[in-house]
Amino acid sequence: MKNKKILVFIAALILLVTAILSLSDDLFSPYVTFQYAEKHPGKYVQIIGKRAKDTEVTHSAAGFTFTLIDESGSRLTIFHNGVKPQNFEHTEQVVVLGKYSSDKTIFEADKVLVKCPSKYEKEKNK
Amino acid sequence: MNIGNIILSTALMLSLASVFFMIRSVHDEKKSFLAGQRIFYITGILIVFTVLLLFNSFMNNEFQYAYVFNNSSMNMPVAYKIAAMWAGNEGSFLIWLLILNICGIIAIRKTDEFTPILLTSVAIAQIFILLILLVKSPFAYVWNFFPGDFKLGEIPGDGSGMNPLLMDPWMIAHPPILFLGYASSTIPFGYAIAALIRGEYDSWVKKSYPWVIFSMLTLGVGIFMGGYWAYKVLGWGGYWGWDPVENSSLIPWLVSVALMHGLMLQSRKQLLKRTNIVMALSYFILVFFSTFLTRSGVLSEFSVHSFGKSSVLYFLLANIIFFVGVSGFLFIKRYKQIESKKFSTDIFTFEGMTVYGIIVLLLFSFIILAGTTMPIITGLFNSPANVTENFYNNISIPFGIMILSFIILSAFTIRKYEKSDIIIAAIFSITTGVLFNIFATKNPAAILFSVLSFFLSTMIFLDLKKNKKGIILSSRIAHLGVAIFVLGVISSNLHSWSEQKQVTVGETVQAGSKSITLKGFKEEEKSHVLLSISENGKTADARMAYYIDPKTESLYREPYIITGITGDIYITPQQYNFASVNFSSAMLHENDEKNISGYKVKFYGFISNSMGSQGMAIRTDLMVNGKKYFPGIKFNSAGDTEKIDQRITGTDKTISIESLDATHRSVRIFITPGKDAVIPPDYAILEISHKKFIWVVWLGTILIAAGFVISLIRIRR
Repeated sequence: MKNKKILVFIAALILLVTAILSLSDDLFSPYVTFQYAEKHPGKYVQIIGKRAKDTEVTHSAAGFTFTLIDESGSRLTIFHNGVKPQNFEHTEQVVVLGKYSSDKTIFEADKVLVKCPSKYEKEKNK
Repeated sequence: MNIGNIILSTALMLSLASVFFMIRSVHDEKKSFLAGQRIFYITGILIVFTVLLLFNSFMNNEFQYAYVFNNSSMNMPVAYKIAAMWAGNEGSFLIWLLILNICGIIAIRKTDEFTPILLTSVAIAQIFILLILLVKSPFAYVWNFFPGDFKLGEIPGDGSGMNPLLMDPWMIAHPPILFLGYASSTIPFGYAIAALIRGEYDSWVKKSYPWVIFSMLTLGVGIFMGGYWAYKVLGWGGYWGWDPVENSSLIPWLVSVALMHGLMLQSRKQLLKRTNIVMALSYFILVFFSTFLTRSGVLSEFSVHSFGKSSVLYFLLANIIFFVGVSGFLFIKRYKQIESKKFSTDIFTFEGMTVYGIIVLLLFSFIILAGTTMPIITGLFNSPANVTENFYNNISIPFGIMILSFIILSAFTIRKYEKSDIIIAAIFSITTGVLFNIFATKNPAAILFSVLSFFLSTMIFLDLKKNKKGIILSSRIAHLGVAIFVLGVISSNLHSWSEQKQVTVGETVQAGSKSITLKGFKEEEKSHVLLSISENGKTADARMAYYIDPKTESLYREPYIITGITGDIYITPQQYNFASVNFSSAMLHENDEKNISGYKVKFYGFISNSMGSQGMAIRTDLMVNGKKYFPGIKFNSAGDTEKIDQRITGTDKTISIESLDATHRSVRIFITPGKDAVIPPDYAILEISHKKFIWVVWLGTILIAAGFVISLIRIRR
């Protein structure tokens, strides 16, 4: 298949993809620590932590708020204006994607992930 | 050793023997081949027997098996006990194995010169899955699986049951259909390997074509069902979230669609001989690679589905490396030998357009693959980074437009349309495409997508009016499905909106033309939030599951969907607030002051007294309306707890500690509300989404599947 046009087409597609990827800034979400998220407000990141059991999930018409604790023990309050995921209360770890807002001193999540329906590996519960 | 593992090990030995005889059959043709084939049939009998054995264990509640214990319980309905067979890793590999074996038996029934190599490929795939099953056996005993929790020979009285999210009719159909697609990808792979080894690059196409269609159909239907399930039951609010688990089926599926088109071009025009071999090999390998991504736990922190890390990882990895190695070696060795017909230099031809379409599909699949594996790739160099949904959504725009365009252009290359027809179709689709969007969104991509989809649909209708014959019909219906699907995706995403509302019991909110009233909460074994929905004077009651599942201790909620022609109204109970609970109890940290049942309560801290061998007591230091109280909890040495309640002097009310957290120094305090207390009514936070024309998405997927079915029927004739 020594067709030049095909190669040109593939090259054009790759250029197009590169262009799309370089145009937008919320396409990647690096895994960061709470400290990093707080120091870089407005940067789209992904954090992971355990839900602080000593605080409650509070709901309002605007969304829901909860607190996460990371491995080092630091805490971060998260706000999400969408649907609370299933299994949220039970989950061990919560993954949150979004940006830290320095004015509101709160992490504004646009996605909250928890452990889930396909429980292919389950801790024992007798 | 138990009986299940013994049968699995025997099946493994016999599969090896089958491969051995197949390899020997190169020298003394008939005898060894027949032996190998018979042995393969025997493995089939053993595998069916293993599945029946597992089925029997579920029916008889044999909780000594960890897999049964983990996925079933005494009172589960029979249908879900069957579904439990594929609710976990071990069982789903077994079902995969069963389907793989059946596909193998069907494919080798009629023997020809390709059969020995095909059978060898199937048997090797079977060996890998059997190895996984022996490492993570569905017949492992609970005392081996949970050492320390169960004594040797101890049989649990009841299983831990299935996750309530999985207890759904879709769970019965969705996974096995996906596995049909996964397992059947092995057959085209086997034929491609046979083609490479034998140096015949044409006759494998006809043999594997029906398998590719079957595989593409079942995998596709599996994906569609998964989307429908996610929307209807799981309450994720949408049908697609670009989650690794969803992507892991989509990646091979796109390749299978490309492969099907490639095989068609080869059988008609002798083109793409090398590409087709590569696509058939990649399709199968990607199925395993995707399984590796989702089942090995490497992506567990990046998915809403979670799978623990497990030893299956190395087996799947070894499997992939083996198949990539063999395929790569054979292909490179034969590369120069395979000769396709050259393309005509004229670019605007049917084959030209189809080839561009195939390239777009493959590259799209590759980008999704790159996105899905991004955490692993970046994790090798740095801390892992994931891609967001926007990555996929933004990429899908140009790729979707190109796919539609090439479908349209290819239609023009094979059919002469009247000029007037084209002009009318163009005017019609531009008008409808703009009108379809203009009131909801001005997004230019949405308008372009709509115009192209309407144009494609019109062209297909014009075409079908003249010609309804076999090959045309299947491709037209499937392509019409694509156009309709795209329209559904646009309206259900860009024309839809959602809002969260706080609704007090008795209050009514408007959602379009419907009034939704919160009626309250019904406490039962599986509790519900009650609604009443009225429109044009007609009122109907609705209920949404909302309860804590005792097995998983997690809150389970189900959305309520009002289906309509212009779209669905999708109501999710975010949170139901029991005002009496909020009124009479509260969580306090040190030095917090809150109002509980009309009392001002301040929490100063904990006082712990050791009671020697009797255990210990933790009391709280409280100030209630200016007086000190010390309610607490006693822990005895056996681990039991007992509450130390205190009565508020001069009343019949008691202060009680519901729970405490010593490390974070917080307590939850309850005070019995008085008879005269005015408790505010309950309220709920409801998310109300308007999903415009979502049924169009389902219609599109049904048409795509129907196109595949028609094509399959046509080939069978």
